[in-house]
Amino acid sequence: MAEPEKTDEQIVKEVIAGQVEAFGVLVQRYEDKLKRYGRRFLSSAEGIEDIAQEIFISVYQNLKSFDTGRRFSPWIYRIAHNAFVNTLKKRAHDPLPFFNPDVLFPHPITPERPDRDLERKEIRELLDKSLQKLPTKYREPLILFYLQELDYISIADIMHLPVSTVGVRISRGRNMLKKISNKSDYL
Amino acid sequence: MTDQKLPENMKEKILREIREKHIAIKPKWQFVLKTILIIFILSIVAFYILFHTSFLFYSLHHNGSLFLPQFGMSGIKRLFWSFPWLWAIAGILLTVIFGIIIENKTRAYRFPLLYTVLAVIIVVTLTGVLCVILPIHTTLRKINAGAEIPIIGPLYNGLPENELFQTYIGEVSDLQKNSFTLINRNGQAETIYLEPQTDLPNDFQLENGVEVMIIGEEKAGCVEAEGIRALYGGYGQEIHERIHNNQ
Repeated sequence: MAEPEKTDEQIVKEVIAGQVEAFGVLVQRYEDKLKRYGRRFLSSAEGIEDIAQEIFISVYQNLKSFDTGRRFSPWIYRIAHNAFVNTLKKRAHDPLPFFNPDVLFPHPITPERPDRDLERKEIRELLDKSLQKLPTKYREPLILFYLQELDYISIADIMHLPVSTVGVRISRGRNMLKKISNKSDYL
Repeated sequence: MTDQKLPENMKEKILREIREKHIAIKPKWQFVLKTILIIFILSIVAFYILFHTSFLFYSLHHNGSLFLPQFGMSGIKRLFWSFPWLWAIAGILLTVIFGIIIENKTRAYRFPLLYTVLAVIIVVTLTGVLCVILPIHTTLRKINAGAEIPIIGPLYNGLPENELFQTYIGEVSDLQKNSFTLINRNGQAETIYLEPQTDLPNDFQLENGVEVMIIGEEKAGCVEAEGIRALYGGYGQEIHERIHNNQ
């Protein structure tokens, strides 16, 4: 009987214990995901290989700051988020707002929509076509929710936002997509 | 190069860097030290903000600013001109900086910013008021009068006795029909003229030995009283002690 696949957190423990080769498994697991996330967030594939490599180096160097009692994926995505935000700032042609008023006020919690598989697939296709037309603040939560399949709490921890704000941004982003794509029937 | 080969390349590249010790895991103590440093800085900043704000409340109480609204619009106008705006703005800026550090370094981002800001304002205001109710600053001022307290001592030395705009505080003495002498908190005497339009509360009997606050304009070394209010209770007692003990 095949051994069950080790969790990310177990692998982190092994790497910290000295089995550095195990870090390769984490690179394999997350490389494509992070590149996909970066390409869409940055609206460009330019330099994505180098940025991904920098992210993994940062992850490795900071492994001992990771609390193995928590989930690894929001932690690595948070490091990636910071790296991509810094890249956006450097490129400066996609300026990030200094302050977003939607983090100021409380919002009613928008429940995570149990989208049907077909609907999710269609939204993903729409995202691929129209994502670049969305402002960054709506683009990122949609990528993380629909393309990286993370839940609201993980997205909130990655983006350092209240969970209710994540729900509002995803909902507004979806409506924007609807308008942009002019395919309201899909949504 | 196909997209499928890239993961291997990156994996090998990173593992080679690790094997050749070009990159290494940072030791745990660095993160522990960083956390301790952040907590230490946050504590210092929080302590200073609480001191700063409570000192603002105390100085307003000390110089009588909090009684000025009793004179209506004339009092509020004087309060506006006498208010330590620079000190207050510095406090607000410090609170904002503190809020930003809290948002960045803790899990406060999980709450709407409004909640965090309200929580900070409530805590800071309550602490400020509490410091006035409890004689913390009065005690520190008295200690400082004996031997200067390092760092914060000059603040207490700099608490002026008569800094309010066109406002005078002291004890009534030598009461005449149209004037009296006001012994201020520094023990100095000032002549106050009562005008027909001087605003006095109906239930207030002006007499010698009463602690009062006066608003009015100084002309030729004398003050024409626009309004007079008695300082009853704790503040009146405090002024009485300051005049008679000259503290």
